[in-house]
Amino acid sequence: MSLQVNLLKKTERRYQGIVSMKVMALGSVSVLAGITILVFLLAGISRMTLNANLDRARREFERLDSLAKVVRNAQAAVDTNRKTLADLERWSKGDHVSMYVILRAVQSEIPAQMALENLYAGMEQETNAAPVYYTLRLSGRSQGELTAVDAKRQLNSSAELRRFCGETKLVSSQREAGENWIFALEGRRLAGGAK
Amino acid sequence: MMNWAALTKKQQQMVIVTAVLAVLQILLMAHFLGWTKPASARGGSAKKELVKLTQQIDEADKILKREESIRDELNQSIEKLEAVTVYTPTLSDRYAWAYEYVSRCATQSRIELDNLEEAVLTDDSKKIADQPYEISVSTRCGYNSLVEFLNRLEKGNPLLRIKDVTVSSLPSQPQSHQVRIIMQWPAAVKVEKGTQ
Repeated sequence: MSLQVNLLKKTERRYQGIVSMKVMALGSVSVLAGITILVFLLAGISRMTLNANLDRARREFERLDSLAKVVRNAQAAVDTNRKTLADLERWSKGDHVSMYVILRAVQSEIPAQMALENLYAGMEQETNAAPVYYTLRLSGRSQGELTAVDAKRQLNSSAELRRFCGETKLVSSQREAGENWIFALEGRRLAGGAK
Repeated sequence: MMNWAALTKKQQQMVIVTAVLAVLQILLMAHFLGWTKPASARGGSAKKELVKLTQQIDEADKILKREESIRDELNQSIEKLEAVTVYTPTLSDRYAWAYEYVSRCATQSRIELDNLEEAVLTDDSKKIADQPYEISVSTRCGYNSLVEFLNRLEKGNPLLRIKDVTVSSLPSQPQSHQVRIIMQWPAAVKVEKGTQ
């Protein structure tokens, strides 16, 4: 008969395996700590690289930005000058007709039996916000009842006058005495509108 | 394999605590490294600043590559504008400038000027420099002289615009007319030269 006596205390109880439970626990903690250190080390290196790149980018930006600012200002000046030139081009050309051409055309189209007393040629605008009209207004005396009508036809046959004020119309015609008539003619065209 | 039942209570607690700590550690590490955030939000302010700076450097590079052509364009636009500024009144002494020009044309057309005055500005919303410069000229002359005068005025200055002409007959002088001319120049021309 054999007798087995367990002399181990409860706390000294062991389990089967190559290493003890304590070693396993310490081992796993060490591995985790190692991985953590490695990861943080890599993160640190990455951070240092990022900061170095950032410093380099800041220096590069400071260097280039001052140069680029000058070029940007030059580009803005080019744009402003181009706009000014375009405005001046519109001002000098536009749909404007030379006034001496208008007065010469009126002179050549008015019949000899007419005497002008008032002539207005220009850009009329009642207020700043109102539209601009190219206007030709003539008034005076004529000999013969239909002289003013002839004058209207003559004025309308002039390409320069048509371009300036559109169609000229007889506004009024009134007998003064005998064959003398008082007349008024007017042509008006909205600036920028159809000719 | 570990025999769980063979472990004492204390050992079982140790294994549980180790496992919990390991999981916590992994979670904290993942959070610290930003793996819990979306890819676009990772990297923090430094990375964002770097991305922004890189874009700005690229833009600066692009515009610097065009520097020569921009300089050429600027010089050309300055030359063109300076060539036309001689036809606009100088802002500091516009009346004298206009008077000299109109008077010279009048003399060449054998016309005597009665009056030359600046028009009153009516558009208060604009600065003086941004408004066309307008003057009114009064004279007495024959029709042919008037046409010649206008011809000289308009041909001698491409930026001068005759706004209107009013001609009235003078009963006492059949060969002469009372004439009023309103003429305009564009607002003062500003030449931008960029930062030198």
